[in-house]
Amino acid sequence: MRFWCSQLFEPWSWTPRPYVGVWLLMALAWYDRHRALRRVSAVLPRDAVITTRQRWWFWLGLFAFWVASDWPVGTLGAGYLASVHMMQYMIYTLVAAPLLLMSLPAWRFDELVAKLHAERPMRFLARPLPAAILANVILIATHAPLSVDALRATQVGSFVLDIIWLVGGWLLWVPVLGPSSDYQMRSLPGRMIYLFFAAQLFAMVPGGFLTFAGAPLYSTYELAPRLGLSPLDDQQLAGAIMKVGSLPVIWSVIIVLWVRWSNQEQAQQQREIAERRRNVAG
Amino acid sequence: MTTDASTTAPPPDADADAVDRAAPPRPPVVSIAVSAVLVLLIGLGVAWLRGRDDPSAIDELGSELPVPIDAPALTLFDTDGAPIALPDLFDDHVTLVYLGYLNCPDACPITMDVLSRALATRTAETRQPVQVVFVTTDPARDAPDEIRAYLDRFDASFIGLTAASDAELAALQDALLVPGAVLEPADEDGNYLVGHATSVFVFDDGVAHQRYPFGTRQSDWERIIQEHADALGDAAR
Repeated sequence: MRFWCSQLFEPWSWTPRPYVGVWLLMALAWYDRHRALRRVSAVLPRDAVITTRQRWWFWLGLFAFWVASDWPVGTLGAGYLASVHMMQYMIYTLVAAPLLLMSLPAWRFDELVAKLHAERPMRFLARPLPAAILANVILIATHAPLSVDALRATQVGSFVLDIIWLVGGWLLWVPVLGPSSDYQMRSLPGRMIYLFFAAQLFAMVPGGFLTFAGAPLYSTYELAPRLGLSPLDDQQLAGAIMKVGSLPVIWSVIIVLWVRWSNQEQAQQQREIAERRRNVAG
Repeated sequence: MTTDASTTAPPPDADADAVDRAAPPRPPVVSIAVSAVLVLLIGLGVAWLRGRDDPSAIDELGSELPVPIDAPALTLFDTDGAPIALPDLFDDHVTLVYLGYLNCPDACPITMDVLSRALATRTAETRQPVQVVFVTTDPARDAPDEIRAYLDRFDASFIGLTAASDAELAALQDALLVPGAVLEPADEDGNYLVGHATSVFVFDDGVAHQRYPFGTRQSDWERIIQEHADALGDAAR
């Protein structure tokens, strides 16, 4: 039994291999949330504590975290296939992180930020430019061959890498989905532009390096027992995932934001027309 | 009594709030950039520290043999059953010799794969004098035609050899200064692993000066093959 998935240096086996740390962390997340909800339920009306939708987001986010961290995805990504390593990054950053963020009621988000004494850094990091820079610094730093090869070799390193991805995902999504209006971008078109640049455009560059490199860049995956894909094909697939894997999520969110913006504009226009009519009638 | 916000007394920290609103802090882009560099440096540092103790690190690659090894004066059999005298085979070539076995789950297929990919990136001129020789350490299980089929998966030019006896295999391993292959206990299905040396020996025109450990990467092999092929060409001229 191992604490966290990392490079195994042994042939791949389809025998399930659960990781204790993943389950413990999930249990801890659930327990901490459960305690906070119980505490607040005593003083707030039920609807103000948490919505049904937020409950769903929490369980879906936790499920995405589990899929990305535990066997087989976690194990394959940690020591066998760069393409699965990239899928893990995508699941943490583009699925688990936004779902868990959306699962937080505003009071809980503010409480967590206050508990961490992170109001000032959070206010700064939730701005689009710092958030975009940080998300992409994390993207590049955690996909640099030296970082991957060093961190994936140990359980602690692999754990650190996964958590950096999750936290990086939160920071990426706060300006768009932040539960507290203090930390959210007000302009809907601004959010769309931010998402496109922060999560879509810059990822093309490192993705291109992986796709067009003439030799495997990661020794972790180059010297791992083979699983059908050659190391170079696997790396090219990883590059392709980095470049286009985010498309469905990012563009779905952009479309939702666009529809919301369009509805807002229409409502605004209708209000203005009604106002003019009242003035004319008056 | 009015409760209008404009008429209520300001809280004690209102001035500070007003200052904050008037002059929002400039985004410390420099701090972010410095943090990014720090993250990268820490990553590089950890990798360097790991690499220093790792026997497969680049500094350890191509560890010089304590003494040059001449092509062992042994005759092995290729996958067609033809006898091959090693000194003749190694003559005028850069020969990469690897000892392994077909049921090997990790080091052997990875090494063969890495070598074949490195060779594939070289020009025909560079490849021409280079040959890869795979000697089985499990002759009881590895039939010549199976060795041929196995090597063809990587590169049809790879040469598969089998020693005529355990004594011949032991003599080859002794000559290469590596411990003899060890058969591990078999499982209930009769399958077993073979512990064996995983270095690749590079013979230049019949003499080996270096061996490269498992973990040598494709990019390293591209350079090594090029250097040895160039040196052989220079010597011939």
